[in-house]
Amino acid sequence: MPILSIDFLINGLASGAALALLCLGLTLTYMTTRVPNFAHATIAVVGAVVTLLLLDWVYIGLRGGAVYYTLYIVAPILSALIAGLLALTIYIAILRPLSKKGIGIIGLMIATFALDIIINNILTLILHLTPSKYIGKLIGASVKGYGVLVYIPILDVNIYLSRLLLPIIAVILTISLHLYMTRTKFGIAMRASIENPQLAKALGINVDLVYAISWFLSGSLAGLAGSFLAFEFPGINPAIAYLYIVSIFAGSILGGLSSMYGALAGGLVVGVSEVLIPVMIQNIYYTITGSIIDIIRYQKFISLLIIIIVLLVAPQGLAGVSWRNLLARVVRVG
Amino acid sequence: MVELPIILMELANMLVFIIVVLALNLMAGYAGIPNLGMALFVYIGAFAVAGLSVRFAIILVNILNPDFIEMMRVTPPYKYAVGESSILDIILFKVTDPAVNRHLVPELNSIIGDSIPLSIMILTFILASAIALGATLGLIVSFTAVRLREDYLAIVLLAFSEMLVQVFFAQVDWVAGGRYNTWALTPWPQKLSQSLGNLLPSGVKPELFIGLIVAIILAITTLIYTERIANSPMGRVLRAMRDDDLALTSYGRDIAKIRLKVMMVGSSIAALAGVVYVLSVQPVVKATDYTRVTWTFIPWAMMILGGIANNWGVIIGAVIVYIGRKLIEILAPPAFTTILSLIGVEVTGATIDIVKAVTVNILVGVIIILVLYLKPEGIVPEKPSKTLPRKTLNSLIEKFRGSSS
Repeated sequence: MPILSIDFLINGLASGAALALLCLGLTLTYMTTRVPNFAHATIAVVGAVVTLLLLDWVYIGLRGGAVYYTLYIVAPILSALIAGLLALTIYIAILRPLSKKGIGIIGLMIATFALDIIINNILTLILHLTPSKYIGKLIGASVKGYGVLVYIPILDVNIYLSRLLLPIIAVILTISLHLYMTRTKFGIAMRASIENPQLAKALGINVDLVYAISWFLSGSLAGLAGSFLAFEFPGINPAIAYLYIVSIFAGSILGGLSSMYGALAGGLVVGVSEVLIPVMIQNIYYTITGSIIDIIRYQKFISLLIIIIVLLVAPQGLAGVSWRNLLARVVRVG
Repeated sequence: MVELPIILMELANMLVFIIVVLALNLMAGYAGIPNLGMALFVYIGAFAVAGLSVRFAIILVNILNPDFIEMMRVTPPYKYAVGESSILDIILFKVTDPAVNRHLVPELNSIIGDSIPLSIMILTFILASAIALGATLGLIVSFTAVRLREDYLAIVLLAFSEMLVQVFFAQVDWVAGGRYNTWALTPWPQKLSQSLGNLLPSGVKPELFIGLIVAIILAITTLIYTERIANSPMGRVLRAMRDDDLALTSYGRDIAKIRLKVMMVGSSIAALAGVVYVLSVQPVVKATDYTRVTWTFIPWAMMILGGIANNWGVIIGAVIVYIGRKLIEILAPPAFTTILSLIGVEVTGATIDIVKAVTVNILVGVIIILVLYLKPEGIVPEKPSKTLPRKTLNSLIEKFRGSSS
């Protein structure tokens, strides 16, 4: 048995890309408003639920066909929009008034923690009460998901189309976000108000607007990631957000919670290692002992390990490590 | 009409929540450690009664009666599950196997109940292991982030709680039952239960009554203890740390050390609450039942509603939220059924269970946000810390002057 197969590699990449988008969103709102958003995973689940409902609504009994492929464009955009608006509402209707009243960081954190559970429960209710046209109740359905398997001749594997698209979309989004942050006026204003809100305000930048935009961006990135993940699920239990948020925090902490590129790298590392490390261990164990250990269900433990190691070794994360010094030291030692 | 046993059980459950909230208030209210991992500490107490003490009990029983494990190998119903496993294998792995656990725990219970010294030993072991496990976990979990800002601490506590309870304990079957139920020991002596059984009104189980007494004792002790801490110099240090840790550091206090201490104390109180919960309310322990919604979110709502950093306030908050939650659970299903039948949707039992939980959770969440917005200090605001009376202070000053000159 080889240590890794190509389809696991692609799965890992897709999970890494999704997590990178989620970590980017979390880090963005943390950098601007200083609130760790405990509801972030649930906002991603909102995107997933929107996509699932849409898929169920237009499901035409066949995987493939023109209508079906347009869904790969319509559903993510719609999910991103709704999730973004939800995040914006959370910020404008709840967090900003609380912050203006002088509630400290713990209070704001608890507010997002409470919102997480409120939204999650509303989603549970919606999913339980929505009669689904084709697959019964959307929770816990045992039917195969809506995903389309694509055969790639060069690599000789069948891969879900959504898993193939996710890394590509993530790369495109990263590049466009980089251009937006460095080349446009508003992007530069955004970076300025992250660096020094007081000075930015004095220079006439509307910091409140920047904060609101960052919440919208964060929510829509989460909705997009959730939407792509939803294509392969037959149904979804919103409670998965309770565990998924730990991976998002792991990626963001690895990224340092202070740099967008750090967040992307951190999310990618955590997402890829969550999928690949258990499989690798399993395969190595199999080649040595010839028996199978089932450890894939403990994959989320890797997130916890990453959090512990990063906080003990380099609490500033990847963004806080001075790579040039490290490189110089490595070269000297080598 | 609601029956007496149910009322007593709800009372015990409410007392458990009060203990948890008092522990949370010590950590989050006074010391400013946003503990989003309460579920882990409550669960670890439950684990001490269920998974851990059964192992201790089987070792003890085997020492007193060396044939016990030998007997398990040959007699049904154990012999099918145990077979020819070694003693270590049985103690470590087979005890939590549902096929063994279901029969073993009642048998151990009757053996323990027959001998008073044995039941005292088991009880001591349960309490000691809960305190030790709680303190150790509190130390280990907060150690990673104790030197960082509070939000990192909150993230780490949440991550540990979710991962350990919902992944480790809920998936690894041999440690604490995992995906299956494990039964907890009831370490009360038989004579006590019997004599109580004659005194108590019919329907009230002696175990429930003893559990309730233990819950009352522990709740009062916790209240006295946390009140004393809050009004001691330590309490003032904790508040100073919460309000401005930089200032406290410059006065020469080690923030990390204080936080670790508070985490150890608070976690072991929460673990004791878990013990009481299992002994009085829910003897069947399953890790997936100890969700963050029940054991982290609801205690936080109780604390915020009642008044952060006020022990009497959080008790009032706990009582209000607990009773409100029960009322909603009773009232929501009929209301919901009528609404749905008006629309024409059929209602099943599963839907009703979901609706109950969902209504409570949404309302509790809304309460947290509304209280934060309208009255962030809660129903009973924090009181200024009590200092020594003027007379005592003066005499102390005199004493110091006398000794220094």
